[in-house]
Amino acid sequence: MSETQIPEEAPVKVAAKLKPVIDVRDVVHSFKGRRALDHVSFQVGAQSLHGFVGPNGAGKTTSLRIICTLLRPQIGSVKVFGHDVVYDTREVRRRIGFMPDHFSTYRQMTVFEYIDFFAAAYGLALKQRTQTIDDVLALTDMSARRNDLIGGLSRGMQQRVSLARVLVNDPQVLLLDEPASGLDPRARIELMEILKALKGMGKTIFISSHILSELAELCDAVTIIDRGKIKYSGSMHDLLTKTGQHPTYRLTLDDTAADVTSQLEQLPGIIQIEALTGRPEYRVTFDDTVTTTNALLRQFLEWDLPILGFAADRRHLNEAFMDLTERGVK
Amino acid sequence: MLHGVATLMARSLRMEANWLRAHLFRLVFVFFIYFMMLLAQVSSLTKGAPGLDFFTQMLWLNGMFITLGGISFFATAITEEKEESTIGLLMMAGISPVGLLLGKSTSRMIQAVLLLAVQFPFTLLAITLGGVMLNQVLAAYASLLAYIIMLANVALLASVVSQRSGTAMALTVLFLIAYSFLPAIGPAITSVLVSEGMLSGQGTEWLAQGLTWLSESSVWSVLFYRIPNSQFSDAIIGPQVISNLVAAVFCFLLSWLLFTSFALVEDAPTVSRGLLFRRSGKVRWLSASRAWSNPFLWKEYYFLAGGDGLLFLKFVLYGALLPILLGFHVWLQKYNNSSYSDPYADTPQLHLGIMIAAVIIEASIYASRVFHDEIRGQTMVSLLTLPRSIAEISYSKVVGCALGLVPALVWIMIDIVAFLPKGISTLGEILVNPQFWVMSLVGLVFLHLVVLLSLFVKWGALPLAFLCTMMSFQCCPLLAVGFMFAGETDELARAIVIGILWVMHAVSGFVFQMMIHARLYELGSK
Repeated sequence: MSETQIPEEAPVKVAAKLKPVIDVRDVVHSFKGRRALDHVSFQVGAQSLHGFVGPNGAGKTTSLRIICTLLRPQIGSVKVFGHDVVYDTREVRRRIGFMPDHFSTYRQMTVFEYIDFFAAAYGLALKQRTQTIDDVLALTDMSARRNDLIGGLSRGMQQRVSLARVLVNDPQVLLLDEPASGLDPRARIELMEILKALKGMGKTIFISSHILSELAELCDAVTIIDRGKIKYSGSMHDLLTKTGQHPTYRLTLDDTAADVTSQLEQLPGIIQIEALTGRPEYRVTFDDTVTTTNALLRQFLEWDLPILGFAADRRHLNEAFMDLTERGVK
Repeated sequence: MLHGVATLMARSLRMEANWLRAHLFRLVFVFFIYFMMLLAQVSSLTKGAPGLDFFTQMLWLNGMFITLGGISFFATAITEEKEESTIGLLMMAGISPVGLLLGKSTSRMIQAVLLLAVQFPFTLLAITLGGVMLNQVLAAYASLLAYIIMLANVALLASVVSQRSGTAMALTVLFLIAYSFLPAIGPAITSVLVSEGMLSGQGTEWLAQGLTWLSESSVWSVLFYRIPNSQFSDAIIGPQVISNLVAAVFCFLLSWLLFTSFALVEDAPTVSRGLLFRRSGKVRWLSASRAWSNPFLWKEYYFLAGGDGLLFLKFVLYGALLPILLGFHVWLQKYNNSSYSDPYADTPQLHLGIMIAAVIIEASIYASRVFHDEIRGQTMVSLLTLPRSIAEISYSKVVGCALGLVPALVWIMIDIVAFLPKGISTLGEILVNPQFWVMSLVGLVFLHLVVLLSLFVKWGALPLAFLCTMMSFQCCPLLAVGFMFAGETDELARAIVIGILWVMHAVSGFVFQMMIHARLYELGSK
């Protein structure tokens, strides 16, 4: 056996044990009679990078705008660090940094003037501001462009300036609405690197995005929303590994191996064996009350199968997203 | 080509039909027509033939509506496509430049002409009411029609050569100022030039002919002096109609000629900072300082009012106006050989008047632009997530703009205190005069209205607010009535009237503030 992966406890579960930073409960919000959010509830754990995905018009931006106090929920409650977004607006605003889905910048200002403006608006003293601006510009790699006019910057750079603006008050929670939209691949990758660095600094990041592959890689938790209803909210690991009520693993054998489908079906507790086309690879679904992964693995080793991998079958986030948003929760 | 024109026109008319604002505009217009009819009815009780008054009021109403509404309506025909970067797409769809010009401008022109058409039967009532003949009504509508066509095409030309709607509107306004005022001030300038020997006999003749032609081409002189005259017997299609139509055709052809050179040029994203330099540049003293502890105030001071550099420049220019006016006054006195006026006493008064006008104009411009950047840059969302209230942000921005008024205000103080006889006591009298505060409140309410409208319309908030204010004065002449009673000798009656005016304007201002607050919140949460 060259590489055998044993599933580990998802890191988000550790975070989830902490008090939730964002607590959305039973929120309903309508626009001109059209229900944008329909009894939406989810939580975002501390220091997690939580993805928020859904089709266009699903209610992502409305949810984000309610969390960042720009909209008042018509029914339900939203709390950030225990502060209600309706009654403790200022306290919430002090703790969050919201980046909308469009550039919200003053084109005629230089990068430095823009960040300085927002730093002052957050009440930072002049001396503190200088250091803070240096730090956020360094973090977003914009130090060299500090005296450039924002209107003359590329989209990627303007997005970084927006991110620097969001960071200027050192918020504990970042709410990012489609931060990578319209960016070229390089700018996107760089942005994701910055987000990873921010997560490393202990920030809680709630990010809405359409780029599912990047979210799957970055996020440790995800909420999927469709037509105003939450379809899934929880650990990314769980979403990608649990395809049904029984665990499914993927067994990958060396190219030289013969077909072992019938052999595998003989094993106790096996519910379904699906041979994947074109290679000696099988999707093994079993009843975990009858057998275990260790027992299965021991059996494979006994049979002397040329195992290349035996790991929990991870779906792509795209698949999970399509399943949940098209057919509903399984 | 016809297919493209028809498509564009149909789209434009369909959009306009779904546009609530356009219907409201018409509704307001119709309301004014009914109101004027009501006034005519009332005046018929005391007057023999109120038709002429009604007719004159209708002409005023049309002139103002067409001019103020038309500036933003016609001048954005092509620039709105440029701003949306859709001109290239329309051309790719097979629409030729002339098709685009016709499709974009004709539909708007039709809408404006329809407004004239629907009111025509009402205006004919003026004949029934007495004092007006049919040929006067027909001549007035022919004149207005020609004016609309000319304005639409002049604005179309401005729209073709400008990259932004604001520039197109500014060019149209400049044209209208020249068109409206040159015929009025032209003869005076000519006579001065002739008396100074600056014009030869031939030159004078040409200039006089040009000015006569300009005067005959002016819709204002035709509408307000010639047509309402009871001796009117001119042709319905007069020189103004012909010259306006010729100007319209000329502007359309010029727009067509210049379309490829101007309208298809990609607008490079330029950012203008006026006199505000960057801190990295050589002229650091003209750059913005570090953000103040109230950054909203700082932002408006530097990025809207222009900062130290522009304030200094304005102060110098406003100051320089004083010796220039004095010199002009002395020269005029010499030319008139008059001893009735004293240039040294009159000039500061004239300067004071100009400075007061400067304050009003500057304040109005600031009011129309104070939230303009926020809307254009979609930055309200960032401001509203700050731990500051909307009121705090708004008032700070207003104070920042008000700093831009300092040069003109300083010169007002200098004029009053240093140059006017008994300046300080006059100032004291003005400040304790309740009517001064009523007028200040009127000004403040007007500025609130400008701010409010600027949150709804992309361009033209200032003329629209002016129009609304004028109309409200016309329809609800409480202010005029109030001032009439304020002149009474009975102190109690005077105090009551002034008090009512104060309360009325304070309530209006408060309601506007609430509406501004709600709209800002709405813009931020959109």
